Amino acid sequence: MTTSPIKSVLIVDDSRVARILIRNIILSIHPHWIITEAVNGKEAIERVRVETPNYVTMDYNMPDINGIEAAQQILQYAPRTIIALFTANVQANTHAQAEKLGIGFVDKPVTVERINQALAYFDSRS
Amino acid sequence: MTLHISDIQKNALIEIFNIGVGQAANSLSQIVGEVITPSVPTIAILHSDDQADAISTITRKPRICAVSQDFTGGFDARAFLIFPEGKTREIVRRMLGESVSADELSKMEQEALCEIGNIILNSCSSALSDILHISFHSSIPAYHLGFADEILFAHSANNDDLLILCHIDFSIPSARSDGYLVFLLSPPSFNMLTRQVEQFLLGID
Repeated sequence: MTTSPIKSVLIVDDSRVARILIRNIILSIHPHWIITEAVNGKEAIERVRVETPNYVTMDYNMPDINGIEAAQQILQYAPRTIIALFTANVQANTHAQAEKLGIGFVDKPVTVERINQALAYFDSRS
Repeated sequence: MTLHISDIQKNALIEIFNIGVGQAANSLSQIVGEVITPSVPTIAILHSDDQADAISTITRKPRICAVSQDFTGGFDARAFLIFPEGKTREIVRRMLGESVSADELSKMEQEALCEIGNIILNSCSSALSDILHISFHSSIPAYHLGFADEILFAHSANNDDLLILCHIDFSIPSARSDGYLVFLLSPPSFNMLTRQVEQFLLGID
């Protein structure tokens, strides 16, 4: 049995329910990973400065600044952060913005399949 | 303001909403973990005088639980995902799974419904966006519980607002509940939408 290295994930979502779902599914797959949470884009920007997580799951539709804007700011000072946008907003232009920024794109709702998709993306970029 | 929609435009709108509703149903199916078969949407364009009666017909109950989001962009609309009052607990329970206690479930019900509304309303608007080649910005979802007419028209700035009633029967067997989608548009927004539908029809002609 191989043991995967412990990684840290910052979950950014204004919905507590979405955060719980993402956290529970990640921990069911990687019980030893370190999970932290931010409830909006601004908090995420601050947390990445302090915690330097390996991976970030980023909601799109949040108060103040959206997930794309938050990811943009994070990548300016922490360009090695691997970010996947989690969103129900699957409009082509949102997809294009994520692609331009070089971040992953995962459709909501949060399911085991979608989390696996995000984890595969994180793994491919590590 | 004169409002008119031709039969072909109405047919196109039904087809566009049908695709949007299909995506929304797919999202809801993933949330509750069971097959959701939506009915073909029926679209009615209602003026203010007819709206109160229409709401009772839609929901079959005077009190509803709703999540709303404002969409701005290609056209502006307030969209509602509606469930009859008292029919949402099972949907939320299925979303959160068995690990959440009844007490926690009760505390998180509103937030969970907002997340469900966000996913479903965005699924639908994303389909409209892709088909009509327009983009939308969506607001943060808001939760409402109360009488249908008060909720739907509480923030309507103009009594002339139209109700584009996209009535779908989101039948959820385990929850013994139906869900409904309603879009509220002002007359200028309605005209923007019909222009975009016209462009869509020219594109497929």
